[in-house]
Amino acid sequence: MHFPASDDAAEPRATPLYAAAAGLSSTNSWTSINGFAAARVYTSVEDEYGAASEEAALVDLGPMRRYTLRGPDASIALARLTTTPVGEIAVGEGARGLILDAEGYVVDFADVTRLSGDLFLLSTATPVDRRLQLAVRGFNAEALNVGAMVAAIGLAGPRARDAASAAGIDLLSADATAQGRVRGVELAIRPLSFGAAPGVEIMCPGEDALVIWERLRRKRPLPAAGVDALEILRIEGGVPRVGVDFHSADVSGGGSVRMTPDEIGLPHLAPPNRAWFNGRRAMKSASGAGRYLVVLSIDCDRVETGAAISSRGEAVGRITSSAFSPRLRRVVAFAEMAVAALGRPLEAATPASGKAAARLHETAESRLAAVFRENLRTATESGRSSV
Amino acid sequence: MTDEMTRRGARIEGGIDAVILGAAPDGLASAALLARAGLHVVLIEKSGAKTKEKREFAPGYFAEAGDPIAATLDSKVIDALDLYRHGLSYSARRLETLVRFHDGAFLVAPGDPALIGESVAALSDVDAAAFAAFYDNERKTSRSFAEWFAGGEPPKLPGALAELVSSSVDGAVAGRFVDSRLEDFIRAEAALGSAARPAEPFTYLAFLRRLAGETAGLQGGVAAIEGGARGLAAALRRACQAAGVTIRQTDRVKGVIVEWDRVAGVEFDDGAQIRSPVIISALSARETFIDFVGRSRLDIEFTRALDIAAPRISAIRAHLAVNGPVADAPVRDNLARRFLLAPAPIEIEHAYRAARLGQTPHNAIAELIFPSAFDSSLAPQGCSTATLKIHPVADRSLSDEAWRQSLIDAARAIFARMAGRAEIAAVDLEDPEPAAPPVAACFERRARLTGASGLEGYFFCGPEALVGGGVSLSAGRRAADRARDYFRKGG
Repeated sequence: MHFPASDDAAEPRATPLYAAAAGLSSTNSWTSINGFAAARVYTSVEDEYGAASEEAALVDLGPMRRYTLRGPDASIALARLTTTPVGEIAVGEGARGLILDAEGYVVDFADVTRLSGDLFLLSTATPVDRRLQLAVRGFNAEALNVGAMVAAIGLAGPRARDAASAAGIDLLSADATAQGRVRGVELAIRPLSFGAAPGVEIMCPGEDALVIWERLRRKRPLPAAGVDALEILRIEGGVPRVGVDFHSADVSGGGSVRMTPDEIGLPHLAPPNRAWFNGRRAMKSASGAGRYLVVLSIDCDRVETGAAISSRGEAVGRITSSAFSPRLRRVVAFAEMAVAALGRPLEAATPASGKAAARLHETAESRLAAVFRENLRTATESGRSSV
Repeated sequence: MTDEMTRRGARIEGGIDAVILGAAPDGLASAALLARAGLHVVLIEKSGAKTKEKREFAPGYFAEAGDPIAATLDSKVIDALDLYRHGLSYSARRLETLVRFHDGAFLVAPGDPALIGESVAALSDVDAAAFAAFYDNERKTSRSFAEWFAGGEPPKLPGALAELVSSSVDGAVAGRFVDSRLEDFIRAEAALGSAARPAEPFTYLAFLRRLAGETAGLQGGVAAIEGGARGLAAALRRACQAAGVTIRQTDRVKGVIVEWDRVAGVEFDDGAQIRSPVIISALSARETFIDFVGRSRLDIEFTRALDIAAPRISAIRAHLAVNGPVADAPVRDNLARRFLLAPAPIEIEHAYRAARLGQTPHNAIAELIFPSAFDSSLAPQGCSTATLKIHPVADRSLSDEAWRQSLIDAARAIFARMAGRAEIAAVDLEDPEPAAPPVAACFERRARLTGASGLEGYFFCGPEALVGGGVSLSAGRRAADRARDYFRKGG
């Protein structure tokens, strides 16, 4: 699940679940994501985080962008557009990856699910309509933005599957997407990660969204989780946020602001030895700026975005996003760091005490990245990297 | 020595260092240059693409296809391939240009641009010195652009010159001279063959490109090649043969073999392959990349550049059988010249508008050459052939008979405006020649096509690698240079 940065839409549009979400919101704290209203906090960040990380919590995934690609060449077009191994996923399976520009810099995240032989669902954080239209040009495939037709309900937490089953939505297989009709409503349900928390996503026609939402809450009153609680899970899981921790290559205007998959800490999502995808050739030779996005745990209650990270008095990085983790009882933060400083003792500038000790925090993504980098290094040294 | 092996009945040919696709002048030049550098080169041309003989378009009147004159031939290629020894020659080295203005007056621009001041004095005495100084200065300026036009890196320019790059012709010349017809002359030179109107930005570069070209050892000069485009191609073929290039004719190229991120050869319809670490294509960009490589192996942004629609404007070349002399004395007195029709600015605007709307051009910029003045075998005695290039016209198919007839009528009318009344026995039209995109767009497109496909060992010198129209050979030279360096670094 990837939400991009909040935007400054003056009058955000309502998602199909807005009425239900508004009914649960006691704080009336909202933001705009992709031009849609999204609740920041429903009741309290701690409660919502607790539910999403230990039980189950509802999430309105309406602001995410969704597209379908249909046609005999849909898999070829998607394999070109994204770094996902589209040719290798079977019907019902999904894969996550990235969208890169031709110079090998990250544009967006891409979750691809094969719904049938020649029908794919593509979920992205930001709108990629133009890029998608260019990607299918010349192929026998049709791309359609289904965001306005589909509602998506997220269930975040280890008990998400139980909550869905309790509501009679028992289509779930272990790790594949399932489609079917439940009490007259056409549904698709698939596994979805909410950073450090597992979960599922339930998609249905927009007009049926409120019915499904209420069905999920009928058996037991599931709480809803807002953007701020999800932000903690995101950072704990090591998933950077588009427009916050890094800028999409499509909107950054070029230059050093753009980042490669390796720099955002997700090299395993764009393996250079995978079959060809957009930007792969350039990515192999793209010169990184000598910086990485990493997750730090910082011994304090709060740090500001943009706060300096130093090592032995020398500035070596800056905070790009942060949140207080109730589980760790300290701040977790994404920071853009000079590669050379990664093994050194670190300090973060804090508004309260001035300085606080910071250390690298291992996440699920950073573990995958470390294994991937090690494998790549070994393969390169033994001369097997490019064949 | 070529290594051959057969796998499942299909022949696989190895031991070849470079394959050249297409026998356009730039392809021939790159093949010969690589072969002279010691590479084993195979050039593949389409069946029937061999140099066409001159064509009889009316009884006793013959036409040569392509441009009968050249203004931008790359002297480095001519020297490196010793093209003069291989038969390249000029029937006229320093062609005068007789410029006809909207009011019927004319200016004879000498073959040597350095002498233009005296000619201008005959038209506008008050402007003679200023125009000569202006022309001389722009020639010097254009020299610093020459390598850029030929495919090199953009020069580092001081502020004033950098501003000139983005200027429109209108902006650069308006009000510069007392006699505005001199501005019309520059406007016509810049706009001939270009999709951009003289009022559009970057169009002044087209004029500088015209001045930067060097032909027959003279910068800014125009020369008539013996045999026209056919003569140049024949010389290049002889240079290829002398350098040991193997030329094969086939229409059965299926595609380029890509292994991982580099090209590995060419595949044919029957499964046969020529394995080679280097491929240079002189074909169109779409054929080179979309047809032979495929979109699924090319970056989205790269193919987007190929999908940008070509300008719906073209130039049309008409061959006229002129039965007897022409009425206009300055033309009749010396047909071995280049003739340029420089309409008034408003006429040019109307011509571009008509072209965009698909309408018949009543007024247009035109370039007229009498090939029979250089080769008397092209027309019966006392008669002549004329090649008239009209620009801009709508990019419409000549299979539309009404459109074809309207163009023939327009060619007759424009010819009469340039050369006076004459008996035209026949008019024959060549296929429309798409107008060159605006120069700035050409630079952008060239940079992308020649450097950004990302396929190692694949080099491009097709028509889209050129800035502006006409034959240059510089794209072929650049592609050969890059291919040679790539090969020597291990391919």
